[in-house]
Amino acid sequence: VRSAENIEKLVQNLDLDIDTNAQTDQAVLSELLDAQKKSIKQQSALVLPNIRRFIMKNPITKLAAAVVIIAVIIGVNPFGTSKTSIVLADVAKRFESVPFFRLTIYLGYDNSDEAKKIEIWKSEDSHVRAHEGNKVIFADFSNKETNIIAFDQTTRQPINNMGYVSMILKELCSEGRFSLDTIINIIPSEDGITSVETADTAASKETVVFEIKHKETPEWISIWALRSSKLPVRMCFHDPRNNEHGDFFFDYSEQKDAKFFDPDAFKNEAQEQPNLSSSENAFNEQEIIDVLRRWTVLSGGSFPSSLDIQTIKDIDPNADISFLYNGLKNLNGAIHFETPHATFDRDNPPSQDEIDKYFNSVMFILMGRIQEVLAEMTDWHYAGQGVKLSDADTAILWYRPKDSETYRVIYGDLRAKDVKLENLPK
Amino acid sequence: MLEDKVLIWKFKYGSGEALCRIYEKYIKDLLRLAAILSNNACDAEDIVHDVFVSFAQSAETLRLSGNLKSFLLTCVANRARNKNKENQRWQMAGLDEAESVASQSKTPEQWIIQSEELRRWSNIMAKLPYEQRETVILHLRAGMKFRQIAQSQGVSVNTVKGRYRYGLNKLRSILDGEVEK
Repeated sequence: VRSAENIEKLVQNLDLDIDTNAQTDQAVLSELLDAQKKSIKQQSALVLPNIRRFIMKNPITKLAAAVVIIAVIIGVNPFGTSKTSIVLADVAKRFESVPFFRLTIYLGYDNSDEAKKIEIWKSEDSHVRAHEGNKVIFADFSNKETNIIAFDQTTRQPINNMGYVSMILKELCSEGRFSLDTIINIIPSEDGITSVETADTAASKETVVFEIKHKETPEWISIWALRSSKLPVRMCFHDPRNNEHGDFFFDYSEQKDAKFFDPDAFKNEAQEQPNLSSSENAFNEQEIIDVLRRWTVLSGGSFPSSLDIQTIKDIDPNADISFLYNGLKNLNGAIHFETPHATFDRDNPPSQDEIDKYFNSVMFILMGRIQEVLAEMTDWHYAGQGVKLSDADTAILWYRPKDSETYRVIYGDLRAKDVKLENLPK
Repeated sequence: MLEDKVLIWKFKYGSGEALCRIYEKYIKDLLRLAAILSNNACDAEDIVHDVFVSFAQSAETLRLSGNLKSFLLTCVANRARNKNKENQRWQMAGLDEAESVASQSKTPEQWIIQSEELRRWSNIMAKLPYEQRETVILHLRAGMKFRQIAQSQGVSVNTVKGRYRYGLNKLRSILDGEVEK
């Protein structure tokens, strides 16, 4: 008779060998890659019918809209008997009347450094420009026929994958109107929303705050508006269930010129400035330089022997990892990984295991990022092994930016310059 | 674990290479779990295939708080549970034979190549009620904690512990019975 413990051990240690048919593996993999590609390409098309999900990817949008519905349609004064006479309907109406504005949106999670940033500018004549990651989107809402075009910010070439922002624009600016009202119009239901609660105590002298809570969920949303102008200046939402939050900042101070909203001007800028690709690449190049600089600080002045994970062994695991981590946070692409709080808590120092784990994690991501950046470049070569930060004239890395005839060379003193093929190091 | 973080990061940036690596790394674990939970090679193939297709399409929405392997194993367990319910409905409707014929017709193109030992244990585990089988396998083979299993099954931790205990007892009597024979 076997004991429960024996059974546990037996099941745990079973050698349950399994193999797969290589041909089927290939077929499945190919199907998966197709699915992945289609998913990326069709993001906009897939989400388009459901604006509520992508505006903030959060049901709180519904909440915000419903508040406006209540305020505007039912005529509820969200401040009740408070000292201000502003109602949310006034704010919505006032917002619609502004000739131009800039809206900056941050969407993210409380426990994450990662946040999606979207910037939208609207011109007086209903032209819109938006930035989302490396995408620049132009939209013309001055006519009934909405025209939206997206470019890759680096190459300045038109792209098909327009991202979330184009979808947001299409819906929010329908019929050329860009207003809080248009948010209301795309939210079909106000079910589950409780009446608007006041936030009288939170209101400052200059601003008034509308605070709204959901009837059945812990979500809440706040809208700040200026008492004098009745313009909304900030809106934020939070969903404690998944720690999701969003911040919307409204700015009415800067009017951009017509060229800023002109897609042709943006496209031609690249042609007028042949070296632009080089300077655009400088952003990624700057990332690499920053990583290399941080590396030399940790390694006592030496560059990594190679740009892959194997090079981890070159660094003392007791080095100041937070220094590298801070470098990582600045990298393009908003890298997210879990940060063990103990690492930065002086009163509660981390164990060696925690340090090792964290160190490896940081290094792994660091090298992964370098590989990502280099993958976008052609014909790159790394020669940093044995080179020190003081070796000013020794080339450690060179690559050819896309569509460029010259190479970029990074030297031992981390200076970078354009070099012709014939002048490259042998 | 560290590699997984990089893979997820790359995958979220649309890297096909990362998707391939994730596939290669975990396909056998997932198929093994699916095979032993479903005790049916064709069902196991369908389950894992569907999990991976959904995963491939999820780059934009994927958010992992735990590790990748646990996430994928949980996806497989969830799909296997649904498949089991589906099969039960077919059986109740008296259509189990038709399903069985359809499944066998896929045999020549089979994706999974199971060892004898895996087949044997799948048959043994199939004698346990499904919930107990899933609990025992997820805890002992997938290394999941009772709390995680409870979350995945939508029941309390005590219920999971009960299922585990009953499952082990049943397993013991099955194995002891085999020895007596």
